[in-house]
Amino acid sequence: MSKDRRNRLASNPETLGLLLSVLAVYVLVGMAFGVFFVNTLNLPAYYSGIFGAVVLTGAGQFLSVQMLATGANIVEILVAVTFINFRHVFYGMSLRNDLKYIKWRAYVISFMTDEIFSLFKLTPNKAFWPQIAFCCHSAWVVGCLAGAYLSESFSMNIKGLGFIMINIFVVASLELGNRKNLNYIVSSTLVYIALFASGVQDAFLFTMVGLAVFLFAKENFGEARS
Amino acid sequence: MSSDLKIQFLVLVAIFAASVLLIRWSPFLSRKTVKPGSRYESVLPAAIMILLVLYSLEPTKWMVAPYGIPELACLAMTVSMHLWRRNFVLSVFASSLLYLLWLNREALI
Repeated sequence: MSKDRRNRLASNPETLGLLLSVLAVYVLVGMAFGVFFVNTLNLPAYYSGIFGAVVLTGAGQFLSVQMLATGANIVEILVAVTFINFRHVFYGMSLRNDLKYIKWRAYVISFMTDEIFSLFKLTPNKAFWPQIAFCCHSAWVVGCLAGAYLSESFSMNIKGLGFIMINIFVVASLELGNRKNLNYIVSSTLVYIALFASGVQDAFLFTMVGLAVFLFAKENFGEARS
Repeated sequence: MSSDLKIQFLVLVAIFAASVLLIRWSPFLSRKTVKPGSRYESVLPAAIMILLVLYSLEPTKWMVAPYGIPELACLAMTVSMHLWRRNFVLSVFASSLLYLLWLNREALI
């Protein structure tokens, strides 16, 4: 196989398959958002596309539209979405070296979602990363617009699409987990379950912050590693 | 009224975008370099992934029938498929398809 062909996304069936599944889900969930957007806010349909293009956060978009419709003020909405999106800090933290010399660096950093991050971690060839990010972003915007424009003639009845994303996270966990980080994975899981079971909201965020602080301490003040 | 909403919405989009950008860029603002192979690179991604799995399962109703059994069964299938074949696409699709068919079975009949 020549070098050129190897460097094309289409010649990598595994990456392509995962990417296509994310794209399909982004279009469909984007459509659900578009329908929700025009039914909730009395705004032109293309505003839904603007929103998706500018922020690219699934849950945050649903929540902010909901809150705007029920008369919450901008500060309340901002606090809520910042809480939801804060986890993105950790994606950047773990990719600082990987994103040092990548093409379209600013774009990739600005629009990295949970799913895009997992696709990155499952795609060793970083040459594909900008394309992956751009495809996901476009799929989301297309979905948002399509749903908003077609909301009259279309109803979104497929349940459980998010499960495809959970499966991608599961596969990524299996790929990234190894003997060295196993104790961290197990303890994070236990902390999360303990927090969640005791009714703590944002268990994800607290676990991640705890882990990040712990790692920071280890890296900076821990004994020298062999 | 509608133009009020438009302005309010556009302000929201602008502030929202600023907050998201700040969050996504904050790790890159520090000048301190990360050593290649540091724990940030080896531990964080794996922990994030497992926590994303748990986080995405939060809406599952564990105390009401069917007690999250379809979810757990399909996840078990994903894990075993992946350990068996190590084929990303197969692992993701097989159990997702099963799960979607199960969840939407009433619409299909």
